[in-house]
Amino acid sequence: MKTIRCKKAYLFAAIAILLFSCVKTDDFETPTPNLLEDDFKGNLTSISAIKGNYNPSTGEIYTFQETETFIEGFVISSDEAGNFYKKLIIQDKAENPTSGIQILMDETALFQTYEFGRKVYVKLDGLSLWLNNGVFQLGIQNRGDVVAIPGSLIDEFIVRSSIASEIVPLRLDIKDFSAAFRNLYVRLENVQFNKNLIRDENRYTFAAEVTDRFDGERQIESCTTGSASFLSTSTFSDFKSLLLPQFSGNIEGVLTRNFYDEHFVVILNSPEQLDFENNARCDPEFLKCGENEALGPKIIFAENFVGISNENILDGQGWTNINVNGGNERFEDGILNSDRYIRISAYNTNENPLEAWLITPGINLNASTAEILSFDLKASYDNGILLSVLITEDFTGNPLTTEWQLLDAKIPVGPSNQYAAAFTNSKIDISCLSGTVHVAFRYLGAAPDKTTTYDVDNIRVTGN
Amino acid sequence: MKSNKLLLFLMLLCILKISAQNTSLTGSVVDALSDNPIAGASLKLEGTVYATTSDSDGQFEFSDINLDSGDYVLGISRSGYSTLRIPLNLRKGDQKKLDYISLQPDLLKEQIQLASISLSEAELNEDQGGTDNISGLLQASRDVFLNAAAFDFSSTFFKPRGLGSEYGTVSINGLEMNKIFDGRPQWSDWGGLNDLQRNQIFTNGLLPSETTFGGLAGNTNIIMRASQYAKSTKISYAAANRSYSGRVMGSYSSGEKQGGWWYSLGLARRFAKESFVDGTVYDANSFFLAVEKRLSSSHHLNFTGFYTPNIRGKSSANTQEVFNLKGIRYNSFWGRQDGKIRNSRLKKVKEPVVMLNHFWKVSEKMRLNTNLAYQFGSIRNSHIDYGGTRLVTLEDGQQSYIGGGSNPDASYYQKLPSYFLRFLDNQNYRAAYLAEREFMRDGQLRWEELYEANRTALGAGGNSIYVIAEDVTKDDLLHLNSILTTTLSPNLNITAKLNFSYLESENFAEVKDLLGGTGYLDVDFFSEGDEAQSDLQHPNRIAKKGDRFKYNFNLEATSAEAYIKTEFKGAQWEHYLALDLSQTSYLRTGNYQNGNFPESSLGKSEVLDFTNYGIKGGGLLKISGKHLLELNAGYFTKPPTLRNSFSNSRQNNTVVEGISSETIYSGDVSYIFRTPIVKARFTGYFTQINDATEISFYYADGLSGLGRNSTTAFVQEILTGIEKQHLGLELGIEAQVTSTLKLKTAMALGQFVYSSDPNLSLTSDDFTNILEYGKSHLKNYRIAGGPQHAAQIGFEYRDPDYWWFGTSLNYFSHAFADVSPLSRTANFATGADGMPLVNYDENTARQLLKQEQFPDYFLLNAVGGKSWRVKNSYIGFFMSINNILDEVYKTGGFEQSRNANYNTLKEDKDREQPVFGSKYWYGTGTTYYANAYVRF
Repeated sequence: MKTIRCKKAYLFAAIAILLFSCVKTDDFETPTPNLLEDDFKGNLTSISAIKGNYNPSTGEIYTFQETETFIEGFVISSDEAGNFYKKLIIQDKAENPTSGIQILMDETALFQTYEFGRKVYVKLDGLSLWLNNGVFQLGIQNRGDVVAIPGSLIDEFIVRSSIASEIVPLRLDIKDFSAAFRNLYVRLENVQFNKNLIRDENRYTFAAEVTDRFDGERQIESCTTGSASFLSTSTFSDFKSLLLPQFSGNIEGVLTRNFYDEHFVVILNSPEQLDFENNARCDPEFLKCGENEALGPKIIFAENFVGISNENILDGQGWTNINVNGGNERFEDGILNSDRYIRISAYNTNENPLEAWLITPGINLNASTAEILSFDLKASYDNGILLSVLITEDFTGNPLTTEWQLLDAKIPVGPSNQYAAAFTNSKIDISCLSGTVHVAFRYLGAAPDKTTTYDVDNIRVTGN
Repeated sequence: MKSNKLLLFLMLLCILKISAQNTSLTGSVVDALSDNPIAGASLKLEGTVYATTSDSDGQFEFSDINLDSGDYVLGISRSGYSTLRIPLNLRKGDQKKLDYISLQPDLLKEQIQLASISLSEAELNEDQGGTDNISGLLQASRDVFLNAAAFDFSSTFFKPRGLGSEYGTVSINGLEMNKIFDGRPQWSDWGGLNDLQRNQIFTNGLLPSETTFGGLAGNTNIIMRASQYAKSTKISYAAANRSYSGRVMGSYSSGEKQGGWWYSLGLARRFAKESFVDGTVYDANSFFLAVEKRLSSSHHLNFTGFYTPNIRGKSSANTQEVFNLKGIRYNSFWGRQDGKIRNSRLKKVKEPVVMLNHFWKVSEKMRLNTNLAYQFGSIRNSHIDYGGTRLVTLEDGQQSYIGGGSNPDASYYQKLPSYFLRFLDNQNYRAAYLAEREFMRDGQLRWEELYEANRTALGAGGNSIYVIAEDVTKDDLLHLNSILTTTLSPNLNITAKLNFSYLESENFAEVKDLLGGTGYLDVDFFSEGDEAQSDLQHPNRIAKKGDRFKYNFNLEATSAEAYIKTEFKGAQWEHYLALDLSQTSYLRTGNYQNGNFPESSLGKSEVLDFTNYGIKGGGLLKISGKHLLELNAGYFTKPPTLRNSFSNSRQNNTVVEGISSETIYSGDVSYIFRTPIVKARFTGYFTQINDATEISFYYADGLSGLGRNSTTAFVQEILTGIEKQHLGLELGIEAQVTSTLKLKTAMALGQFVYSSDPNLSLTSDDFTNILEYGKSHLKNYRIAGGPQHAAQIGFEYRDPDYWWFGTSLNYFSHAFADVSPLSRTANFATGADGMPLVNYDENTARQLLKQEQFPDYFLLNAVGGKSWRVKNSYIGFFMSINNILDEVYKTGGFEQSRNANYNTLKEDKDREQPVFGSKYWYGTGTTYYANAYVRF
């Protein structure tokens, strides 16, 4: 009996021991990383050198074959904030870069492997090169296109090095944007978003407006040179709904072309690359008489273009409507739903630049007080803010020799791919002016990429 | 009035007094081999209400028998022994004594029962995406049909009468164990204790039991009282390739010790690095202790406690495309780390139960059993969260959350070949080929990449991108009941029960593993600004390991129930009537103020109250000893489960609009035929379930009414007013052809359909209003989940030399994929602008919406074993092999609701390989289960 009891005890002990012999379920340690070794020993060529393989006149895709050559580069794009999608942009040097290129990769969350500043080697054998949307891209050829490198081949083509460098952005002014700087990481200093995008009552988001299709393009201006370009943000980015900063400052991002290769754009890796802390703007000086917006009973001037079935009629009514670059395009008559207006657009003009002025006849303010200028504007097929409204007490007859004062007009930002639905009204206090004034609408476009269409209507000056 | 009562009382006293001069029958039961007394043997005077059990000395006593003189049969049964029926002639006033009735140990029966318990347990642990199974609950039954269902049908997710386990109940020591959250028994809470769960009382179908009113699918009361275990020690080892690969189990029961003490303990361990499906780890331990003390001749107090912590790796449902590439063992949820399998979706159940049971023999005719149970602990389900972000603040204070990883699942649709061929006019064959090659070569999680990503994010000052999150339910359940049984007259029994339960359930997500990172920014990656906050009270919180995040709320459920049953047993006619009345209330308390629902997420919800009642009645007519007719009918209401009461409980307090109790009516008629050679049962049944509610969650594509730019959303789908109809036939026949050979056959023909067009509405944090889609045209669609038709033929051979062998051929058909209710609403034919789709074609639509029926299949199973008696111990061995023909078959599947409208669905189905095809689960191939034990 005693032995049986002993046996029992043994058996239970055995089971108890088994109970502690664990199956590994979720008690895993953080693994130590495999250190990357930078013992790359392949043939290297430069990014700028391989671009020479592409013949822009034929537009033929160039495929690298039977080559042992690699290119090296530093990652300057990051898809962490969702602003780049399935592509990596690399440039040849961490500082003072000279050439950059896009690599199409069929993988998301690339930032977790190829982070900003990481040096990579790209095997060329089997990759194809083309110029698409205005930038050089490397990828895999498929049916006449260069498409993303399939996920399973990425490790074969892109080799990470152990080096992660600090990227020193290339300082550049907007006016100096050129093809040579495409796919480089640049720094724009002392820039701001256009005033019409950051008004308190109508402040734009980065890319969450109803009219934003794939990217939201927001006009930025250089405070130093006045030249303008765009910040482009994906509608899939994590910060698309943030409102544009209202002040001026510095931007770092990748310089590239917009999707339709119409103009240069800068793309942020994350909103952290916005450095807008100085509580200032550099808008040109506007005429500032007061804040009054109440229209007085006296109508001093009114033009709704009802009778203007042809813009030539205006010429006989004291209007000035001229193209100052010697081109033919000027403000023209237009009608929609039996409402007449005056329209200007550089679209399909081949004029570069296209500077056109529409100037009202003289308006006498001597017999009135508290004058308000009011007008309606509409922007369509918008690819930049190209219109300004000015006023003078001293019109010489030639807009170029006249001293103008800029008005704080609400220049609408319209949809990029269709006609806008509604006009935007501006009311401007001009009560501090006297004598005979002329109001001017100045269009500064350039075919083919600065072609926003503007409609002007209901110009009135009222007072007491 | 008062005097009337007094009179009644006096009359009752008179009856008692008269009966005191009545017949009595005493005796004892012993083991035929060892002559040891047998405790817990059940003794019944057949055809009367008189029943008793033997005590620890094997003694039994029927006193005060008030029966006419005549011939009776005393039935004696005890698990592990052959049932004995002794003819008796009782005369009024006799004091009969039957000493040393010896019971023959039935090693075979014990083995078979053991086998069936072990095997059905193996099936019960599968929870394939909510597919649940009650077949395992039938193990205690001796019915041919139910045995087939438990043994041979269960691996296919066959459900008797098409009913899910929420329609059946499991009780332990008389306390109902079904979860209040979803109404289903959580088998893992007491798994692995098979040897200690052999005392089971099973009531089939509608029949109310001694302890509960029950539902539609029967009740199993497992008795785990120390005094109910015969003295024994048992060790067993099982090897298998189903849910687990090994099981070692030991139990010891003391029998009665000096001073009226009993105790019993059990230990078990089940384990697998992976079972039939790849990567399904299994790690389960079981501990059991019961102690009972006889306080006096009429009072017993028992303590039972069990704790069965278990961890199990889940398996994925896969599309046909994935199955074609990787086969039926493929599971995308795991990958290797340090060369070891690591499954990202683990289910951990750790819910100990302790209970006190008091048994009071008030008088010979009255017993009062009072039970108190407390259950605590947690259930955790893990998954990889790949939406880790970091906070970026602009100078003017605007905040955004940037980051987020990519879905690491290797079978994610964007990584499969079909995705690269989805544009019929521009198929990228090369990418598809490469994707296929890559998927074939690896196809598992890459843990090292997740660690690498977090390490990179860490370098950039960021938080973890990938973490393992656990959805945790932490319950505290208090359960109290009192069951009174009285014998009013020789033929009349009354059972009454009062039941009270209170559940406090904490529900939250917890950071289980930061995968090398230091924290997780607790915002919703798919939302922006304040809306992204899981808790506006603590915005932009960094959750560390072990912290709660994402959602955090409490549920409270209180229920009180009264149940009474009268039972009449006569020589020709037995009948019963049962009534039940209950009150249930639910309350949600939000602990987080969710950014999407700032007004409705924090604090208490409205209190949901449900009053429910039920009536069941039925009878058994003994036309002759051979022919019996049984009839059962019931009408009752059932409160909605907690799960289905709040439409989006993780985020807000919103109650399902128009929530109501289910109304159920059901009936069955059976014809039973029994001769010494043939036993047969033939049953027809009908069940109607009305006003049911179901909530499901998924990502939908092609929603109308949200405008052109937002047709996709993660939604909660609420179906209300569901009506289901279950009708069918069951047949079971066994024939004892010779004393050793038994032939058996069973068949189930069912038709389980939706009988209404329920209302469908969607809620989501992606849109503010509830989207009402009106009726979902589900009427006459089949209810998914296992074959609705099943049939079996087989035989069992039991050699007198203690070995046995059985085999069966089983046929299954009429199994259906679950349809997507959203595709059956008007939304299907409606464009994003809310207008009808222009190119909608009625006939094509009908084709597209046709329910998928799975092919028929045969399964061949065999089981056999042998036992030996060595001195005073027994050694036994059995083995079963299932699906010997290695048939490949689908056990279940569902349409993905992503393709919510005609255009998206048609586009997908027109593809050679749909991108969002239905997902399936497959049955196992050939599997074995072998068990050896020694008992002494």
